[in-house]
Amino acid sequence: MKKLRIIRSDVLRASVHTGETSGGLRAFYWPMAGFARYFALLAVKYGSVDNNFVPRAGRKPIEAPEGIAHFLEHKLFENKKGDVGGQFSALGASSNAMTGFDSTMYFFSCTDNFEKSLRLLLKFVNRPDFGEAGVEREKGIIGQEILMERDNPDWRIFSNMLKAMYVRHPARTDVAGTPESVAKINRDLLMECHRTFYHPSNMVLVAAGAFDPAEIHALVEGASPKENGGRAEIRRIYPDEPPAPGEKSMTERMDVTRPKVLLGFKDREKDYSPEALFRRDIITSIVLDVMFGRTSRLYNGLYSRGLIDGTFAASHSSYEKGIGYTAMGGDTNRPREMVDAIMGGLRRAASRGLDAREFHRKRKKAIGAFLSTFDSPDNSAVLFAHFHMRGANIFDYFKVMERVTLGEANRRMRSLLNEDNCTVSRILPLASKK
Amino acid sequence: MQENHHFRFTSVKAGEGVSAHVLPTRKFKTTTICLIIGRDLDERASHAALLGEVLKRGSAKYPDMRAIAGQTEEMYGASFGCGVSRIGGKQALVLRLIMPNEHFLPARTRLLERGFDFIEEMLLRPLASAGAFNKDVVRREKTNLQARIASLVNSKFEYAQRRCIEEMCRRERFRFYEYGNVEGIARLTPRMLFTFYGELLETRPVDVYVVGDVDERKVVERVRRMMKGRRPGDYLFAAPEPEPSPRRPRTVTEKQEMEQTRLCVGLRTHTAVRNADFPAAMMYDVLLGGYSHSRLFRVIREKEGLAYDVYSHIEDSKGLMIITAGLEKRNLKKALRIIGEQMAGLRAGRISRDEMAKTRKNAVTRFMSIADLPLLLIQDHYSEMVNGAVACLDEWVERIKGVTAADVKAIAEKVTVDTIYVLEPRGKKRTR
Repeated sequence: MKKLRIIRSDVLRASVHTGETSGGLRAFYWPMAGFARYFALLAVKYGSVDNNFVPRAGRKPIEAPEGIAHFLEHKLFENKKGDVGGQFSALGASSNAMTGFDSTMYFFSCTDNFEKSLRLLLKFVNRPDFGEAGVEREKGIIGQEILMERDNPDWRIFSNMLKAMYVRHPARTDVAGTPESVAKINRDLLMECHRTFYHPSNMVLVAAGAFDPAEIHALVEGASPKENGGRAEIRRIYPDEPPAPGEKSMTERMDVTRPKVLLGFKDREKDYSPEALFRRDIITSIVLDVMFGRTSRLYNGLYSRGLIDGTFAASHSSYEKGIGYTAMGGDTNRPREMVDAIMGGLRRAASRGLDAREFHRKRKKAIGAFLSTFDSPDNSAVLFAHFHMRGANIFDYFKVMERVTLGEANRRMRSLLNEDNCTVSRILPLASKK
Repeated sequence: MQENHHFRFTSVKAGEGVSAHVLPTRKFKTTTICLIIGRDLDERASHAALLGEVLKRGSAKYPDMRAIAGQTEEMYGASFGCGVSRIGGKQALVLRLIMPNEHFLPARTRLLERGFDFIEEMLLRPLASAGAFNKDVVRREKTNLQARIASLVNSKFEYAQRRCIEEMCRRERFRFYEYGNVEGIARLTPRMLFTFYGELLETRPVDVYVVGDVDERKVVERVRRMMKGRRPGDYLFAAPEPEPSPRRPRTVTEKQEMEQTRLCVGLRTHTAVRNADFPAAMMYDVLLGGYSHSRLFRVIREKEGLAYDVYSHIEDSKGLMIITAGLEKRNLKKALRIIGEQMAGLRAGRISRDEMAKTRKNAVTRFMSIADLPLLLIQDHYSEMVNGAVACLDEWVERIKGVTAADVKAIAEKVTVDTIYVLEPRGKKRTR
């Protein structure tokens, strides 16, 4: 077995050890002395937007039902001995999983039995062991998950924003799918997806805690599948997405006490290379903090006029595969005025440019705040995996952050936060209360 | 400095009704300061809730949000929070500051000292004059807090739990919502709020927590300086309330425009954290619905496929337990029947050695994990302290390990169902 390579961060005073198993699984081990908790995750580059693909066994692309990646995540938790979550519990560990646009992440945390739990993680994710009856029963459980989300107005307004923004891209579909799409899922389809995407070279393992990396790597090597077929080239197919949002607005009525508004700005950038994406995310986060942070004129103006309250937030998300958007909003009694005031603020900022002092201050703040997110094995591992899967090394954050310029930030603000990219999602109370 | 492996706070009296609780550790990249002023939940919960919002918005030196945020940014992106929460059955006004540890920062920044200066400024030099808070701030924060309370209904999950507790504790302090109520807030004036603030500072206990790589003596000294000049007093909480007399379970049903039915079952374990049998009650909770291999999870979700979320949790101060689940309206009866059966099974003492072992491990892991999260360490300690049961994590782990199946059965025999609360769809959805 080859020696592990070490990646250091001077800022965090951390060393992460990395190696690859003979089957092609990339693994990172983050030793953290003094923590009671261990954490490990196994992530697959496969999510809700990967529905159109060429199966490993075939040549022709297929279109899988919406929600299948999430369904598969649920089903891997079933094996012949019963519920895998229960088997983690028996070890004193607690496990869970998460499906997103472009990844599925399985993880556990524990304070004892770390090695046994890690073996279980590698086993249950790599070797599906569920039956047909379990698939049918799962439809009931996921059906309730979908209804629970639909009753949540914050989830609904976000889901509607994506539907309005994307014309063809599968980012417009819900991660869990719909009751109708879920009904079409069967065991064979799930197995096909597993064979195609759950290949070691399409996955990553990250573990953090007070352990010896070399010992853990030996365990991982032994417990991982030995794929001889080399790297599997996975062909995913995405539709051509026009740069402008599909709809300028979408409104729905629900049993809420006051209106909610979410403005979405669709990212038009074409370059989704890892470096470009990483840098753009960092620049965008500063732009948003300068413009909408608690120290900004715009935020304070909106707040003191009563157009927004503490629920207001602005954030940027982007993924490979052409998904990128800024979302901002919250509760308001005057939805139209709020939108107008934000648009006015954006126009003023575009003509004047960002305040240079604010820009530099936000940079300093971001570095400290970022440092604080590494205070638990869980967060550290999840962030590390998130960036790794997009081809970036999270430790570069500090370097990039120190070098971004005001000019770049201004260009980014003008190209992203303008009316042409904007779509407005609203949730209004059932009966107009005015 | 000795590394503190037991995560035991050192508590030192640092003035009249003032305690400093310090946990020096090098484990974290942050230093956390929490200043907590606790009070019994009562009709004036609205006062404390609004006070938290008003204090958060400005002080003499930092008169608005921009100035406050500017200062926290100068402290390397420290995060500041202020507001009320419910801890251990009390209403706690919490001022919290999380800063990067100065040892990770470029030069000697004296960040801890600046952190304390900031907390002191926000608490003791508010934006007020002539015996009243700033009226614009109060007006705005009244509106925002009222909106926040009203919007509880938007989260079906939280709303159902809150309503279940309200119905269950109709004659107990526990019924009061920690954020107060819309009418109570409407009546408050800048002057009334300021009077309340003075009274709070003079009569309520102040607990200051610090977790991080800090010098214990310096912290205690700094707290003493901040809170000097308080007069001797009792600074106590009300004695625990007697339990209401037993009665048959009540069912409360409410309807809203929604798609899923939310069920909450409120139980009383008739014990509390200060009693010797509480660890057994915690085990009962975990066995029944407290984790992903609990009886309810296994039967209601995994076997029957009736729900996505189903679990229970127990609370320290009165041993109240709430079971919660989201399901199809037509499956409600079946779910209630299963809950009844599972409770009966525990009452009959049908608990295998294997199940006890799994549950115990899970409960132990939970305690051990608290050691990794400064805010949880603080919250747990405070909850135990106000309920007369401070113990360090190791002691809790030992107690949990000592719980036998017979102990759990003894709890199961005395647990009673108090309230069944159902929030269900109104029927056909109106769309306009």
